[in-house]
Amino acid sequence: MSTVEDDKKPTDSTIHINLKVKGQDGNEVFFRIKRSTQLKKLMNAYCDRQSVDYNSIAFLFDGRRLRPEQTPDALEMEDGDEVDAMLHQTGGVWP
Amino acid sequence: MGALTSNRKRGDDYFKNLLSPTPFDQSHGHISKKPKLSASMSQTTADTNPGAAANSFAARIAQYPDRKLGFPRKVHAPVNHRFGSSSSKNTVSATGSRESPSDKMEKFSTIFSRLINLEKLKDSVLRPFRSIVPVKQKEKEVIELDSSEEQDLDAVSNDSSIEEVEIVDSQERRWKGGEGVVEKEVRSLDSSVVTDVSNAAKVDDLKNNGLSMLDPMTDDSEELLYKKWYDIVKKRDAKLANISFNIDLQEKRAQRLLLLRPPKKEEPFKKDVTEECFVPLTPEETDEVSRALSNSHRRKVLATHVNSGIDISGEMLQCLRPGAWLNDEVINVYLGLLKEREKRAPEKFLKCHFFNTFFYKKLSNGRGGYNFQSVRRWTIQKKLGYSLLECDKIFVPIHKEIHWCLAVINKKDEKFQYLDSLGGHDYQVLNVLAKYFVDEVKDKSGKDIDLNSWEKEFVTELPEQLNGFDCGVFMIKYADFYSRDIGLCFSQDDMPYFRQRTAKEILKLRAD
Repeated sequence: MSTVEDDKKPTDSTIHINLKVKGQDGNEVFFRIKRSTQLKKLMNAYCDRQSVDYNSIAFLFDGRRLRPEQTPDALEMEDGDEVDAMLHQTGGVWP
Repeated sequence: MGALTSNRKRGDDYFKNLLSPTPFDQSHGHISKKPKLSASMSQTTADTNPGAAANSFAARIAQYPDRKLGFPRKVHAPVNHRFGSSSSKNTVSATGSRESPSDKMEKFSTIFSRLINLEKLKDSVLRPFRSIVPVKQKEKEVIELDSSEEQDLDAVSNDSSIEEVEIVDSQERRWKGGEGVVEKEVRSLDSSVVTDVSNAAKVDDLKNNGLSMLDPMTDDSEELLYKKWYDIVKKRDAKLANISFNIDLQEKRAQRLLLLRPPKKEEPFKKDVTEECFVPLTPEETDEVSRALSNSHRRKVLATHVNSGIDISGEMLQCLRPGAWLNDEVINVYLGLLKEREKRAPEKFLKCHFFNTFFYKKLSNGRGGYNFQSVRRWTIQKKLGYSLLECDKIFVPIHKEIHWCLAVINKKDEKFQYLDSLGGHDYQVLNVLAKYFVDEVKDKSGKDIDLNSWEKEFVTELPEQLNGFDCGVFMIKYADFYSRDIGLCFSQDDMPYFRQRTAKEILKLRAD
């Protein structure tokens, strides 16, 4: 897996950020997005690539839910930070 | 008459205070105690008895003024009686036990007559002072008593100022100042005394005693009095100091005991808490909940929990309908509300941390079923706003494919607990959490914690789930009750209410 904006130059590191999205199965997807871009873009791109329903996944950053309108800047994300993509859970016992 | 008696009384007091310490009575001091008195009197009789005139009461009476003992003491009422009995005893012992009845009779009559005589003597001695006393009284009273004294009184009132008459403290000065007047008065009363007592010369002697007793009303006796009073007061000072010290001591002891007594607040508090757990919903709240759970709100976002970043839509909340399975969103929002509740009223709840439903999945998802690094940053103090290590209880929801359980890192009681509404046991969960807690303490504080003494408990005495859909509600309620530090005092029957209540609390974004 490679990020969408792989070919950007390192000088843009103040503008762009590399993020890793890690699925529950240990699968990792790397993204490079602008620091000011809403994370909704990343979430949608991940679901598209993984062919999963957006509503079935909970994205977490350091244990906290990511909201689609948040940006890496607002969350003070650093280059190489990891986002967790977790499947929603439900339970009651008898199927 | 009333005025007279009161005057007399005052006169007596006056004498006791002023005249008692006489130069004639140095050995006894001014307050002669009864035993002493009788002893001295018996001495007197013993001295006189051996003499030939022992039976002559006139001769014996003559002794008293010479001895110069009688006057100040005879003022005391009980003295007479004492005197009589003690003297009779003495007479008996002095003359021996071989007396004939007639002798005894004679002696008795002697004593009796002596007593009478003494009474008279006392009366005569007191009389002059009785008449002197009114001098310091108000004029009107005195005038009523004896009109013959009027002139003297006038002289007195002229001599002394009114202030001196009124102020009790100035009595001594009054006496000194009006010395001439007093002498005059005494002389004027001579005649009456003479008529009362046959032996005029002796009475005169007595009078001289009385007068000479007036003279020493100088600074010497005052000083003596003050000194004695001062000494007495001083003695009491020490006693008072001792008492006040004891009081202080006892008070301090009481305070210390109060400090040692454990606070009794917990019992009523817990009772209130138990009631708090079952407060029925108001009709309005019930309406709101049933509206929110209806299908018309399926797509609508009903509440946004900022701290957890979760939007609760109608569809998600519908898991709180009777018979539905609980989803992670509802559970996570509710646990977030429990944390906010604790922050709101920290004195009512234990300091807790509630991990979300994904924590254990993350932690156990890796090689060997344990990956501390993947959750290391979840508990950074800057992000939590508090330190995980200072929490009494750390709640970890455990999702087992289709079942909800709860694990607790119970720092307060130093044990790991596992609560399964179906009574299941999972050693793996507690082992992973024990490992995690060691790593977490090491990572956040740099210390090594020894958990060997910590118990791993599978809570078996807990409300059990009797259906196939309420495990999520049981799980969040275990957390709710444990964070209140109370027992799990609910049952399957409470589940419909808890579903309603949880829906209400999520809609209001406030857990109570």
